[in-house]
Amino acid sequence: MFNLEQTIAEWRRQMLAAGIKTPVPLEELEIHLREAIELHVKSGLNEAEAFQAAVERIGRAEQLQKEFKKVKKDHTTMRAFLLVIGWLAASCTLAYSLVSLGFRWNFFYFSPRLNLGVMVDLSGILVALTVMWFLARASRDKTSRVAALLFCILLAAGSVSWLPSEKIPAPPQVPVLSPQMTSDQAMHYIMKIRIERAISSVFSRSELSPIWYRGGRMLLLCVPGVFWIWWTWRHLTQKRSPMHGNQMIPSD
Amino acid sequence: MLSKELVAASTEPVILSLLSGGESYGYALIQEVKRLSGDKIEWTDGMIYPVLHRMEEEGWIASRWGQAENGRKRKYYSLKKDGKKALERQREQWVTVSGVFKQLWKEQYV
Repeated sequence: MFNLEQTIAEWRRQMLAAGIKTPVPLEELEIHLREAIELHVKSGLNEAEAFQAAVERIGRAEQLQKEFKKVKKDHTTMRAFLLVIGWLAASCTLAYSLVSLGFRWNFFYFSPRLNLGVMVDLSGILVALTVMWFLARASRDKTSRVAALLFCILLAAGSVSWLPSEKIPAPPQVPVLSPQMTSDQAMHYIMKIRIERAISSVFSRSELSPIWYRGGRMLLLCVPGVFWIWWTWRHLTQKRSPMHGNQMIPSD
Repeated sequence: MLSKELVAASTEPVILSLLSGGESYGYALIQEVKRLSGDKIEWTDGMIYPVLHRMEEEGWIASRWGQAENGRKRKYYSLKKDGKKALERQREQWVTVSGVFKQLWKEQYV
């Protein structure tokens, strides 16, 4: 006795064995198969004949898999490569813009101001983040998503190491002259201390940058990671087609 | 019956043209092509899906899962902006080829 559901389940197993992925495209092919069977039955064939005719028209599993593989090979590789390059460029732009902004606003002391250079840096940050939003949306394949995650982790790690306050050097030593020193030695010692003081007053910072600046910088570097998480979640939830786990396929 | 090569070459513009009339799904697209060609173009049914998926990867068409009147789930495809542009490009090429044949064979067939 011919059992249509069992036969379709067997056909599904053969398709899976040939490498046709579920839910997409296997579910799509199964819907097609069922529509074709329905039509053949309406035109007078019995279920077994209808199934045979529909399967013949749909094509052999290996042949189909070969075609589906081609789609992947042709487009995914190039696309993933371009996406990775995009992530690299956007990450570098973001990091460079923030470092450059740091030089303009926070070199030795914190003095935020707005000039052409600062505008360029701020635009760089904005452009990099916007591009990353679209890259995260487009990174659907495994390669580009993993590469993107790596860039996001690197940026976030950099941001955390950047958060602590800047180092303020210890106050210069107060010269202490010992009675055993000759006048030459004392003079030499005082000069040394003076030079050290002069160097430290020129080349080291005397005040910290405000926490909002360091915190803001950290948050900006974590934003790509947030984009990545958001879009990965969206892609993963969207991938589950409504066909998945429905009642059409008998459980075996 | 059309040659394999010609069927393969015309698949994309045919699908794009069909979808320019509104969204559709794999089975209906195949039936429509069969009807329009008087059964002369016969695709191996399953082969339309790799093509549809490739066109989706290209960003020419979009897909969504929907429900048919009989309650069955279906994956509907619709044309995107890039798809319209691709169709326009391919149309120009086919019109050129068909124009050449029309002129070449004018004496024989008119």
